[in-house]
Amino acid sequence: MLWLTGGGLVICFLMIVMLLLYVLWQGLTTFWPQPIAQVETIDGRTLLGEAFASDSYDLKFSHLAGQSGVVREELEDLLHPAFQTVVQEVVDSGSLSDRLEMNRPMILRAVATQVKLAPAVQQSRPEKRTAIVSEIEDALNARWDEFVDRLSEEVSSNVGDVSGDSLATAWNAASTAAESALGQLDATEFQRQFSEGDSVLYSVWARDAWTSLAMPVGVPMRRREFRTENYELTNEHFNWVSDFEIKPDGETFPEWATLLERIEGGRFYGFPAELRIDGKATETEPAAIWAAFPELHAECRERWLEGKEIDEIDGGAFNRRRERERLELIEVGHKFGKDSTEYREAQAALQDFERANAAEYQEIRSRIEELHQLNSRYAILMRTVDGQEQEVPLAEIVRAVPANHIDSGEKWSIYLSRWREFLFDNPREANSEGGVYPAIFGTVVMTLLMSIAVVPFGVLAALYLREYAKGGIVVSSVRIAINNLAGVPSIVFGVFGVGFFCYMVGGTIDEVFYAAKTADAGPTYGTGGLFWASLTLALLTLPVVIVATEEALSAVPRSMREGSLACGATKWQTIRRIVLPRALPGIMTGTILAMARGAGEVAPLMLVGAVKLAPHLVVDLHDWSGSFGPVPTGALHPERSFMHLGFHIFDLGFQSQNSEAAKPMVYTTTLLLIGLIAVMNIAAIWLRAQLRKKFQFSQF
Amino acid sequence: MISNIESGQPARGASSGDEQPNRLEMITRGEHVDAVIHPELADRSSVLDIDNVCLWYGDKQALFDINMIIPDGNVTALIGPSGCGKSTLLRCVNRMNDLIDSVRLGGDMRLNGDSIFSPNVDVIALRKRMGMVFQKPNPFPMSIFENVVYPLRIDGERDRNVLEEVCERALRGAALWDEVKDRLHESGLGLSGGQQQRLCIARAIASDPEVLLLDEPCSALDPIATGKIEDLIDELRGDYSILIVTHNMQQASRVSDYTAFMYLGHLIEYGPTVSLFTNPKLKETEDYVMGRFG
Repeated sequence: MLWLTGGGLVICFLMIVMLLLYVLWQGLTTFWPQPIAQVETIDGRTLLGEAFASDSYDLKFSHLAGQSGVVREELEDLLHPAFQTVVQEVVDSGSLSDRLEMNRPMILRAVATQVKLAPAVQQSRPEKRTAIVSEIEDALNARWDEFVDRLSEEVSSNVGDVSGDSLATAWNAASTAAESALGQLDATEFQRQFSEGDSVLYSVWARDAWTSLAMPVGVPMRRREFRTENYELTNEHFNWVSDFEIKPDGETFPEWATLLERIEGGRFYGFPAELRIDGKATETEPAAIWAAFPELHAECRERWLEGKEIDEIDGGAFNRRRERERLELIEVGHKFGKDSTEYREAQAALQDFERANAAEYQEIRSRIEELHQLNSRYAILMRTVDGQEQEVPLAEIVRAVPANHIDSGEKWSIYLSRWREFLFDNPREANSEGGVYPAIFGTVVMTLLMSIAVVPFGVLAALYLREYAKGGIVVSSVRIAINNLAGVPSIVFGVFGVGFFCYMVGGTIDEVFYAAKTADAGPTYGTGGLFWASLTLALLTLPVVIVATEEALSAVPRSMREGSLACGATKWQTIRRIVLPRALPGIMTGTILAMARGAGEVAPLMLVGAVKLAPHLVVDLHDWSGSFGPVPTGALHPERSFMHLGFHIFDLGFQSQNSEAAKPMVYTTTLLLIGLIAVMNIAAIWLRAQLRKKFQFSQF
Repeated sequence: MISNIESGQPARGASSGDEQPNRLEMITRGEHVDAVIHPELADRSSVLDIDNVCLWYGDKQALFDINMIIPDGNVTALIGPSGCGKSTLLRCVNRMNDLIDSVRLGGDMRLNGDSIFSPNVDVIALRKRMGMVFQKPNPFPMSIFENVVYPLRIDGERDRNVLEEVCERALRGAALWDEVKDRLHESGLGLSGGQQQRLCIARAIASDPEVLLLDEPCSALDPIATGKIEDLIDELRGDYSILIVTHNMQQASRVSDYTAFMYLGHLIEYGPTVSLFTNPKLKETEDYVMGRFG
């Protein structure tokens, strides 16, 4: 019994540990800079890229289909020795006839199919076709033993040939003979040949018998996925290359092979050809290009970031002012009608506003233009491995990595800089590159808001149930309902959230407070957003908090309550001063559990507010106009959709265009999500330990 | 009403050839029995009047017509075997039995003339006029200071000076001041058992109660701590009226001025401790205090 239970525990523990280690390993190694390989294949292609994943498989005769030329030859060269070994083994063990007998139904079926497809049969009249085929099938069956003898003789005599090629030749010969035979005959001749067991029959048969022997043949082979990108030139992200396809010494690591990570357009693998300033080449040697690159690039990036900031902050503020004016106009339109004098006055006012501020608008735009102009002077000309040239403006480059030319110190700095980008920057390339900062932010803010919502309600409910409610059917039903709430699938909560919170409550709020904005830009609170998502998840985690709080409350010893009451305290005073503080560690446990559960739920979020890409963060320090109905909420905008790490994982893994590239990001994001939940839990556990110390549960 | 003041009746001894029936057997049979109350109690001023008090737990009666007065400024002990109702009676005084749903009360008690059982009595205000110490020390999970001033805080007192003064007075009164005066802000749970109980006593006397209710305060303590508590009770006599429940007869004889002997919810005999122990009026009492049963 001990072994059974202990063993079960150990297995569970191991599974968890292995999963975590796996995620840890995959996640941590994603950003390490890999060397860039140049691969020349036997069919004349040259690829430049990072080896991404590798796969072992067995090379089989079926892989020959669709191949031609050099590749086919190479494949045949690999397969035939294996074939010979298999056949040798069959012959040595004397089991050729047994083996063929085993495959007999398959062989006969295959031959029958061939026959049906043969031109001679296809060309004859339909009513004759069936007759031909069945006649031939009968002939095959009758001649089976004869065939096996003949084939065995041939195989045994060929196997002894040391040169080894003859088996392959025999097989090829059988194939060719069969094909030509099937093609040349007319219907009558065809029938006659088959009925009398002529060489045609034999060729067709032998080919299929050889094939059945060849089926188990497998040569272990490795293939690797090379990330070659340059999507705008090649229309593909990856290339699979098997080891046999690579020329001997065809895999090299050119010194100046470079990876460019770009803002738009994905990765670029190539060689630096020229550094261009104002359209003229200033450097043409790779070493010199790299010497000059860092400084110029840093300047361009700074200007680009500055431009973005101006656009977001100043431009954003300007746009918001303009929006307010426009919304006021729409409101006036609603109140007084579009034909009223008030509306015309408001229109005129808006036009005045726009004229007055045109100058400011122009100024903002021209500042941004200026920066872009400066940046457009600098570009780098890259040459791909097959000679195509592409000019890349420096401002578009996020990071340039001459992967084969960097030492380990530089590798570490690139690794850490990629992590920094991952944690603090916005995503690029439909979330498959760049950072997940908005998702981290959204997850944390949503979890906090959810905890703030769930803890007071949960504690109050538990207090009522435990302290004030008289036992009875009502209380029992409420308890049953709470426990069942814990078992409801989370997507149902999502649907409830959408229906009740978004459409009903949100719709009403929109009608009353945001009529103009809704008419103009669509629902504000009437659709998914941070606030409704937090409330939905608070509902989901409510049972957890209630149950944990009830447990904590009932653990407060009766003697303490009696002591307080004997001093003349009211019930509420006793609860507030003695019971609740003493129960606080237990309440915190409930909160921790609720937070951990809520932070990881994705299904309901998909319906009530998490999105693939959110244009703004939910807490926006540049825009303090957030509000919930009549209540101003400052920098917090509870109506905005947000990004969430769990949803991000789903999106990356299953909704990306470039799903292979997104795969490592999935691991990294998973690692991050686990890490984030662990940090939140540890913080809460620490807080609980501090509280516990206050209440040394020591007895005399 | 005080009934049955018997004077001069000799104690029933095994040797005196008795015809009187055994009261304890009568009680066990369910018959009514009158208490024997010594005459010394007749003209004492009382802090607590217990008037025909009955108590039922659901259908089961636990107290049968208890009639007695608790003298002012003295220590009164309630003794008797387990299950005789002494703790139940004590808990009636500050209406702690209200916490149990199935309890029904009959009769009345009066604290310095004010009714306790009357339905429109403010129980909270009532409890503030009394202090209770329980069998197991139950200091709150707060600092020593906060423990002692708790009764004042819940009464709304915020003035720091008042609180500190009361704290010192109470802790001195409980003979704990010297031991804890340097660590008033440490947790009360960090004290030893005896100290915790003295802390509870300090808390009970902080609000200057009219009567102090002690429910077997030493039963969970070691002999040395017990001795200290008994000394303390001795000191508190006079300043406070104390009603103490104890199952330890020696303690009752050491500590109390008056003792009441109860059995199965009935008051059997009640008188000055010295008389009750050395010269009990009833054989049943003599049997009990000699340790012949219970």
